[in-house]
Amino acid sequence: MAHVTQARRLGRITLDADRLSSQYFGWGALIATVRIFWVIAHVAGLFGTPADDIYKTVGDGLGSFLWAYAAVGLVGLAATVYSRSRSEEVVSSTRLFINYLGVIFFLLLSMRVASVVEADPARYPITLWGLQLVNGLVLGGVYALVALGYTLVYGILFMINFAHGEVLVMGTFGGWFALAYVLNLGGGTFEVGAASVAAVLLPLLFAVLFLPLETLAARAGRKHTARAAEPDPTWFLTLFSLPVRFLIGALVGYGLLQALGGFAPHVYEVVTTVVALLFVVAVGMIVSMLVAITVERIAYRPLRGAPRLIPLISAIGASFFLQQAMLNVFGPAKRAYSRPKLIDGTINVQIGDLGTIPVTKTGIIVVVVSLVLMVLLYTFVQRSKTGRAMRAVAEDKPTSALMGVDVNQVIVITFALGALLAGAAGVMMGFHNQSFNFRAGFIPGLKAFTAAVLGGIGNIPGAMFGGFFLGLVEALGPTMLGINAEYKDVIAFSLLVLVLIFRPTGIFGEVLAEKKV
Amino acid sequence: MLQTRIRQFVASLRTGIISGLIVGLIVNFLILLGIPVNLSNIALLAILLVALVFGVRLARRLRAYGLGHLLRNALAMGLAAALLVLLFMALINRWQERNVKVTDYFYSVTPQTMTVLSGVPASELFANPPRDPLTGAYPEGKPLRTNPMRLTFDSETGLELVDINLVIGGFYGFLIVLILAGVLGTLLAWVFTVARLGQTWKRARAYLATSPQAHIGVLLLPLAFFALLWLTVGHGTYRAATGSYSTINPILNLGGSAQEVQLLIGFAIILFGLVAVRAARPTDSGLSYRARLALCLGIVAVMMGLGLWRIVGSRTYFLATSKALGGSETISVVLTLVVGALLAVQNILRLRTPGRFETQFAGTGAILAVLLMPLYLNQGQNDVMTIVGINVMLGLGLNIVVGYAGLLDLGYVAFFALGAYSYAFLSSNQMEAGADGQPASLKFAGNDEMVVKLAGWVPITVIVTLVVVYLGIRLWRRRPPAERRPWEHQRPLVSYSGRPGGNMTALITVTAILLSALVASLLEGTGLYDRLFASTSPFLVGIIIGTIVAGLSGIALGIPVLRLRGDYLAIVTLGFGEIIRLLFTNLRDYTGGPQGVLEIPRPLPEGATGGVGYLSMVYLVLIGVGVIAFFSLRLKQSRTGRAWSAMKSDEDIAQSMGIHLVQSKLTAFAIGAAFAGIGGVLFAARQRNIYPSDFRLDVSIEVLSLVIIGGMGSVPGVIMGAVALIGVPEVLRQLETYRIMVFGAVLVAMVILRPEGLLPAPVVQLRERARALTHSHYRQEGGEA
Repeated sequence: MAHVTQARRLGRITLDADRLSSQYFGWGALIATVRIFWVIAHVAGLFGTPADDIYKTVGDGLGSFLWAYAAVGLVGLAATVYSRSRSEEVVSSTRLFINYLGVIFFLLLSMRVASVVEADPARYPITLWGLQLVNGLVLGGVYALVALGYTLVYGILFMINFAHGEVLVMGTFGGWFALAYVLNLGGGTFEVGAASVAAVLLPLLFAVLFLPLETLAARAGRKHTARAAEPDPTWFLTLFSLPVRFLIGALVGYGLLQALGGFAPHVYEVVTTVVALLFVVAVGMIVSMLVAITVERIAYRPLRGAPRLIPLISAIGASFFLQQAMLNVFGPAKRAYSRPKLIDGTINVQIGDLGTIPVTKTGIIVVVVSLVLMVLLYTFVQRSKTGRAMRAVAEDKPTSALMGVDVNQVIVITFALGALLAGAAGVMMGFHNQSFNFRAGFIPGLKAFTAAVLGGIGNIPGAMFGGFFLGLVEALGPTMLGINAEYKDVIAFSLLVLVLIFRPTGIFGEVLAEKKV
Repeated sequence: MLQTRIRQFVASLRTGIISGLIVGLIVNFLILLGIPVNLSNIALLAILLVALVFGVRLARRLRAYGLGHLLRNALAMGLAAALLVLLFMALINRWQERNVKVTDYFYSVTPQTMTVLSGVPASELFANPPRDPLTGAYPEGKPLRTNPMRLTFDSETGLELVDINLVIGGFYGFLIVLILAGVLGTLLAWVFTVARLGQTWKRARAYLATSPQAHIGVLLLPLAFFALLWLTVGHGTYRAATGSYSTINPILNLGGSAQEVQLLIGFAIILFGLVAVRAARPTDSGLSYRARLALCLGIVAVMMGLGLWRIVGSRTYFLATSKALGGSETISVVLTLVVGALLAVQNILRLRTPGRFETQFAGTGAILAVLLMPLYLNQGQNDVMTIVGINVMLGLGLNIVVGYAGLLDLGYVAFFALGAYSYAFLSSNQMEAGADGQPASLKFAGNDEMVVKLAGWVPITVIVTLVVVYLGIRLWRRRPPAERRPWEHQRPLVSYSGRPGGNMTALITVTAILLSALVASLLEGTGLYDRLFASTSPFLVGIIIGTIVAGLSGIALGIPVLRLRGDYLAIVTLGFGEIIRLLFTNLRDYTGGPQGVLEIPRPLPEGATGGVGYLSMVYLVLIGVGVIAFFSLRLKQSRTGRAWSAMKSDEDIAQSMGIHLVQSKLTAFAIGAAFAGIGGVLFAARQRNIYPSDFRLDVSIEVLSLVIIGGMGSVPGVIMGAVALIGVPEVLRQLETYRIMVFGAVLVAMVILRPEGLLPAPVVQLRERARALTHSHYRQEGGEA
């Protein structure tokens, strides 16, 4: 419905009721959130001993302020609605009510958290919050990576790729097979197998790195000569020495590896483990990518011009097909990821004299790798030529086709990129959770979609933010509200419902213009 | 020169090689899925069928080229596919030989796979003993594994293809047959094109579509299938005088597979009943009124006779009274006669209008065939019919939300769950252990007397409200015309005698509720209330309550999602469905948690045994389906239905045309949810124990797929979808492991190839045909449909 804002004039003051209520909601939410964190920090002892008066007073003061805020808001709401009904305006007051309800919701939330936390302060030390925070970040990393896949596809095709959760699990399975191969090479020990794998991969890597060296050097050298336009008469040397350079690179890499093994065995172990882990992750990513490209080719490409419901149904069908196919091919039993020694174990982080938070190494890796991959993706989309093509197709498909962009290719690349990220997330999830089966992708897939919507679908930084936000809410929510941990799924879905009702464009808003159904 | 010629040759084979790689991947996928293990008797056929189909596809793609090119590509395809299969099987063989546990990696690949593909019996396919690490030789005296991938022409160990022994040796024989299948497919398609068999096919289809004999045949199909069913079922004769009971063997004895075939015939009756009614044309075939009447009444008489014979002769009663089953036979016979009389009267009245003959003929035949069918099926088969019927109800409800109003609802199972749980709470006889460990009190207080009494108030309210609303609207329409109504400030632009506005509606509703409370207290005072409701089966009350609870929750779901469209609506409703299920699972104290609610009574008096149990359930479900289908069909033609249709096409334009979006959406949600509630109550009554895991997202997706595959917005389509997707897999129990996978694949295939469904609504059918004719299919890039 077209939304008309009626600003009333009272003398020299302009009152725009709708904007006011939006700001009212914003400030109310902010103050409520501040109060929640203040109370939590206070009870956990971050402000010194919990018996300190002034911090408690501030917390209580914020609570009372919120009550007053709500009362004032009620009065203002009633006044506005009354004056509107008395006047000749035909304006819908739904927005005002919704914003007020939002403030009430945050008020109740803060009250609940305060009552839960203050009732039993001993149960809520900082270590608990720290632990949940770390869990939340780990969950958030996974959700963010998968949400990026959803957001990328939605940005271009305006279609929710329901099968993305299954792509995630296929990545985990692919990584499992690679891991099994490495373990097999090592006769049951990861490190021995890693040595064999690294002995092949590292020289290969060096060899590939060595390939363009001569060309680069030649180009650098040619800059100084005046006759840069003429081809170098010894250009054929460059060509013929390709295999030679490859071999030299391979030899250098191998030699380096053996040298490490001889002189610095600890570094050798670390290097080989890292290389083997990267191999596992790469295999997972490639498997995910292949699955996503196949699904796109079979289930989505024939439906390019169809009304919006049809590809959604096709996506649902593809998702179910993949899930059941995995059940039949891989079986219902849970499979285990065995962790190499390097990433197994926890690091204890000391918080002053308040306690220690055990942080798993896999957790740190998940968060770090997620951030790195997200930054890489963002740079790719913003800076590279293909990224520019992706943004063009997302903005206006027919025009970008007219500008010479191969739309089909770009769509395939989009799916592939999303799947690469999901594959990496899947393998890391496997290492972190250590057991998975064919259904392990369904709920994370749904939640990652929630995260994408939270941040504003079609919006890459939004998806990253939404992923971490949802992970934190899921981890901290049940603890904050004092309910059973089983309810975290309910919290996640309720958050989705609330966001879609109150702010359908997500927190960061949709970057693209909304197209009609 | 040679290099270019080789390059050209290879390039000419590109299509074939790519097809072959795809075929190889698909065959490997089928092997991974475990088709040779689970469906060993048709596994080879299935694999060869894949090659055949792709051979046909290859021929169609290379239609413009000559036979030689075609055959070369077919051979290339076969070779590429065979190569992929060979590589994969070599890996598996190697693993099996080295005693690697293949099922740890691929769950469905066992030695049985090798047996099916190579003909070597499983007893010879054990792992080899480990070799001596120094000499590399096997230890002496131990038997060695028969390598299934050896080259052999031994006729003893050939492949088995549907009990035919393919003498060509072992695994390579299989590969050769695979290649040949591909080539055969190509050749067949080529022959088909060259001999212009497509024309013959088209002419045959046109003939079938227009010839009068074929038309009559289509109209008679449900009766024909009923006759088939009748022939295959044994009859009993019970003589009350002597008290003896003898059985007559079926005329058409089907042996072991009788159960499945009878069930399939039952499905055929339903399906072809729908097809026959659809195919009826508005002509009278030149018959006089008497002739028409004679034909229709003749069918009624014959079918009634058969039904009565079945009821009395084989003692298949479908209704029981509470007087210790004394009157079961009488009441069943009486009800049958009543139904027959009603149908006869309906025919007599309807045939008066000209042009109704074919519809009446086909319709009466179909209805009677479907009604009499359960009497001839046994308990297991009727159980399957019950489940199909419940899914039809769910499908029709979702059809209203998705098909009529265009609101994609993925959380539909939530209403189903609410209906089932409300009946369960009201009627469960589950006992809770008291302090001494003995069952002391009812676990779910719903079956309490007080609650039953309160619940009894609801039907009174319903009846009274209907009466009051009807009278109220009649009175309101008699109010003075607009000129003499100075108490209304605003005069509407368009005055129509529609429904009263908000205040008047509220007044009428409040009056209705108060009046019903008055009536209830009056009844209570005179003692009639107790007699009516206290000893009633909770089922009747349960159905009404279940419908109302589900309907209200539909409105509750609809309110927050009013402004969402398309994908967002789907996800939010999915979230709601999951939330409801999680709440039912986690609120253990109120809902019984994962252990569910047990001991829900059947909708029958105590002590009813025999066929009455399952037959009454089937007939209840059939009645439910009939009522819901009737409502659906009438809704579609009503103002509400047209409002939904407009809303589905374009919401904004519909709103600018004056359609109240909020009302329409909420009505759609409420009615769809109410139908799901009815289905839920019947589901709970059938299952007797319900658990939260019965109401997962899978159910929602299954119902959605049967609506889509059957035809969105078309009632016969939904029924057909339910029969095809729920009924047929129940018969083909072997495919249980692949059922949902096939669901997903069929959903994708249907949506790509035939998005209007199997039996679409006529309007959609025409639109899709127009679209196909003008080639404006979905293959546009970046454009709208």
